[in-house]
Amino acid sequence: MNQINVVCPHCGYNKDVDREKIPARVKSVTCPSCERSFFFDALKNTDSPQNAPPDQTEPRHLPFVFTGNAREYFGIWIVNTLLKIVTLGLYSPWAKVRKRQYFYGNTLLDDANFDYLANPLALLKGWLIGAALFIIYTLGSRYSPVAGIIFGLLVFLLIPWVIVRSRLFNNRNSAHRNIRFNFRPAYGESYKIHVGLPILSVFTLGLLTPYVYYRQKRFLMENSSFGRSSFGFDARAGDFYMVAFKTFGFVLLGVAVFGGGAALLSTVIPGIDPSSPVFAGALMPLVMAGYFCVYFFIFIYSYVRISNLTWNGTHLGGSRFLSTLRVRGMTWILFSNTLAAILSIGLLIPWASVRLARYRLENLALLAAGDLDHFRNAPVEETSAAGEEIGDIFGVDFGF
Amino acid sequence: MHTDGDYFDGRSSVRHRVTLTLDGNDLRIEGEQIALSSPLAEIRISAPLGEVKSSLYLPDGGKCDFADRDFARLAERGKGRGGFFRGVHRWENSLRLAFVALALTVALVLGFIKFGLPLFAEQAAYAIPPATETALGAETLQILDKALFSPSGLDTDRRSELQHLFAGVVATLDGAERPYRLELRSSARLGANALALPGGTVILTDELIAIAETDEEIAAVLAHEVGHVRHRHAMRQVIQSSAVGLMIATLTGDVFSAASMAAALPTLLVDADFSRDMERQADDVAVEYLTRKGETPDHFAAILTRIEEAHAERSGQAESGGSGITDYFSSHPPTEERIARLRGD
Repeated sequence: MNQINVVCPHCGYNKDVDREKIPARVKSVTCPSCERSFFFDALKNTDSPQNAPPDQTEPRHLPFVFTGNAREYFGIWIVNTLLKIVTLGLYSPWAKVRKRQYFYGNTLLDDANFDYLANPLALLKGWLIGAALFIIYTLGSRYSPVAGIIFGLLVFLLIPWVIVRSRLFNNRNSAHRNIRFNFRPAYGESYKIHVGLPILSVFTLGLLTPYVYYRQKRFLMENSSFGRSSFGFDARAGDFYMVAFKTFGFVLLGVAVFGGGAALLSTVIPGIDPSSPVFAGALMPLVMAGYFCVYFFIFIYSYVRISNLTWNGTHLGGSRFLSTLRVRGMTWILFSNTLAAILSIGLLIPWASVRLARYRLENLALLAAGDLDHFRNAPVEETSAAGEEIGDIFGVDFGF
Repeated sequence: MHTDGDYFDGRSSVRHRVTLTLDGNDLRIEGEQIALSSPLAEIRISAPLGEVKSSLYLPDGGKCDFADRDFARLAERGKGRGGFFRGVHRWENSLRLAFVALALTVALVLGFIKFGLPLFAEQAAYAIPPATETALGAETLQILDKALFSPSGLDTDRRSELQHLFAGVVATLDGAERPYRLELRSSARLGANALALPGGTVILTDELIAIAETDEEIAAVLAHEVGHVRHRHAMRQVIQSSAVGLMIATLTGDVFSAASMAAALPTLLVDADFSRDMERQADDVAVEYLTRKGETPDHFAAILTRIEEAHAERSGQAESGGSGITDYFSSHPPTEERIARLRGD
């Protein structure tokens, strides 16, 4: 009698569940039929859907849709590459804007696309600063190791600033329905989270690391806003620890399987001296490939789990996000992408980029409370692109 | 001309379904409770890009999205600008032109790697001050001593003989311009080998001395290494390989991990190609030495053959011939080819 009918938004599978068994708070649920996870709020489902009329409070499931295709992007990519070469890199900012505009413009939410509004000239200025720093860094570390170390340290200290500046620049130049995103430049918090906590984490033998990740994700989400509406973040640190725990389990399993396998081979095959160079020569690539696979898998596993956790803990006004990336799907996409890129000497990179973008966006949805008409714009100032470009050139990777 | 579009006023996220009309030099936007008009000259039109909807940015902060390409083209023509990206767009959208761009890109990259980069690396290598090169060489020797070498087991007499031999080689080749030095080492890992470090240091292993039948053979190997030093090969190698890596990473830095892995292969191939050219250049110096001493290249050919045999024996797999892909990846040209070249000269 006191039951709730839970419906999976992916496959439509539904099941009556005892009310007492459902926690009162928002919960990510894994469908027993299709094994995809979705988000379920018991409070908003106090009445079973059979006798409650669909009203405004029922969240609308709005999937992100990606409409780009590899053939189109191949043209953009190759022309970008050629123009970058003939201009000795000076075209890079225009290339970057064009690429982003293509991906943003093909990302639809509720039939309205996103818009990337960065001014290539602002990016060019930032790119020149970043390129100058990179040349100083490369030359410095080549001629004098000490200068390299000092410069490396400076770059390390610059990272929290770069993260804030880059996020600021990208958010302010991103828009949906002509409403811009923004970011609160909390430099002090950024230093605390990107320098202070990681250093502290070293002294806890890494036990603090999942918490640091949690704080970093929270930092990026909580300080972002869409027009006048701020993003909120209510994932729990405990969930990050669960992911870290499982990841560590996979690491141990991988080491045991490949390390043990190698040791076993050397004892099982008779007449082979394990210390002989022939044996080592034959086995080394095998062991290396094994470790590489383990590393690849662990990277994807933690990436997928943390992405889902982060998005599913994010809300904007009354709306929530639903991220349903799967380890199996992501592994296949990244593995086949890498293989395709190598075998085609890079020519299939545009196809790989489009495929990855489509997979990621197809697995992201907004559970919108009501329509998307209630957002108000907030004034946004121009931002210099130095941080964004320094981050790009030095390979500091972050972003939505 | 009309088209349907979405209007967002820039203050709220409300979507207004509107009709856009081009009316001479003005654009009219009409919908429920919306009636706007703006001169085309004050409107920014987004650059055409794939099948992405076009956007009109109005002077008051409003924005219109619409799918109709012809309407966008007409509006652009009305403004009379934006020609560059229209051209880029046409280029991107035609598969034929995209392949022309591809061919041009590949030709430019390969042309630069094959012809531009070696010239650049050579210039740069000669421009590096000798003191820097010497310091780099000393640093490299330190690292090699830790990782690969143990002290030479030769007695003092043999050592001074070899130093004397080396001085003779350097003098014959007029090598006064560099601070040449011979270092004797032993290495189980490298076996019979000789190396030239930046700055003029040449390393010779005990294992190579052991398989040499005459001192003239050792002298030929030393002359080969002097050739590497003379042509600044170590520095050029460093400059070329890091430049190629940087270039390819910059060009393909598009998809994480995939690109950097794909970049490793061409770097490897190109590196192998560079160093094979360098080996040939150094071989020429060895021949030059032997010719000046009135000897035939046979001494060098003989020791090359013996070095190869020694290495084949060590790796336990005496490969016959060595053709195909292994050739392409090896940093030295196949010994047979080198010997044929020596004899032909």
